Amino acid sequence: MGSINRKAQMADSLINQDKIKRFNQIALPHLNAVFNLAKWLTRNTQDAEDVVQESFVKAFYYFDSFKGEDGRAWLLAIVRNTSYTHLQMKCDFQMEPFDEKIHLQFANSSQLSPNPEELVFREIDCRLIDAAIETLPIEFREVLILRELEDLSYKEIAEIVGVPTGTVMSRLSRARGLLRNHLRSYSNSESTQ
Amino acid sequence: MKCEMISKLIQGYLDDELDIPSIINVESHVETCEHCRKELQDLTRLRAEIRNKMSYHKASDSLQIRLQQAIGNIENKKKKPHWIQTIFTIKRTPSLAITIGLLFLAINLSLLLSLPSKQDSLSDEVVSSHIRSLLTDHLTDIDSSDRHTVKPWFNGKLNFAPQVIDLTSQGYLLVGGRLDYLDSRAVTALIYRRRQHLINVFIWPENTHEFQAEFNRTLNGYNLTTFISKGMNYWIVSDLNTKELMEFKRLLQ
Repeated sequence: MGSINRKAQMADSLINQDKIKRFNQIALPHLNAVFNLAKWLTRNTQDAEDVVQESFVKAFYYFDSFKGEDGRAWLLAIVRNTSYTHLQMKCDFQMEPFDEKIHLQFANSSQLSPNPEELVFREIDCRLIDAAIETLPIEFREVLILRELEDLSYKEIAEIVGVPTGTVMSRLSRARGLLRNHLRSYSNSESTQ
Repeated sequence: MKCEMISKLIQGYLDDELDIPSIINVESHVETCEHCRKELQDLTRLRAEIRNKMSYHKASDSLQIRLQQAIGNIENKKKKPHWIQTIFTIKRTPSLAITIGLLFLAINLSLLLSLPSKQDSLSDEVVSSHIRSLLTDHLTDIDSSDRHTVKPWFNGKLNFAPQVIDLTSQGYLLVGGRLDYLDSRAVTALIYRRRQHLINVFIWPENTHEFQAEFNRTLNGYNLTTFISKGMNYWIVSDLNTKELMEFKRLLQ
């Protein structure tokens, strides 16, 4: 019985080793993509690292049900959901009205100057772009990250976020509209100085 | 078509998500409508600004170590109750040895049946090599965007001279070169970059005729595409989308 036990133990540990190895092969290459999304959603490095760790542990638990389709999309969906839960727990969602205020301000400024010809794009600083994106409401921010940094299609984004592709398109449209107005108001304030 | 309709299609146009009739609608409309043409130019510029300037946050090395430890811990925790359970099972079912024996047999059989072809196993090898090059700090042996620096570096290191092409003007920046080892031989690896996406191009002489002239595959989310040109195998692997990877392939050919 002892030898059976040993054999089974060896087999078990081999299977575990193999599972860790397979998991690492699938998950680790997407670590940056996953961290990038978590960082953009939580807007904080410490929170992003915690979210990524929690997501990886979850992913490892569910790994047996992963059918080997697209590892990146699978992990991004887990990280996205974990980020939302994390933010809810931190009550960060209550901070969103702050964004809404800017959001409204953007909406008004767009009505003031509806003519695209008036837009002057200055040499825009990277930090300004980042700051403008950070102020976007989370549902607009996430589609923008997935589209522009991960180069995912509407269909892939729709699956990760869990909304129809039409919604992905309208959210991207809103996100770009808000950013344009933000950058425009920056350009205008620069030129009046 | 009315401007209102076009403004709805413009996002899809920018993101390459429209079908051909809609693309034609947008393009023919902006030719005649100045307002929409400006709008499209404006959004195209905005999009380029975002893509070029927005930060891509990279994970720290310490996070990677933390993750490895976290996953190792799950496995250790799982083992304990599992083993108590197993001992009870052995007491109840003396035929466990037979079951384990059968299980091993089944695993071996399924391994035999699923023995990969040469093409498949090399695909795995190429993708693993690509992943390794990204994970460790060994992406390049020679860092240079100048093909006249990269090409001579391989002299004397390989028994063939790979062609190094400059594709900077097409948006594929040459990052450098590396010696790699595939299919039991030393090969050239050229590294290009498109935005955040790195592309590994493996090149070695074709003299065995054991691979299909051209084939495409997606493995673990990486796109792999191959071709043979002037007696050389080219295997290209990246997480870049298929459309741009195919464009890159055409440029190399």
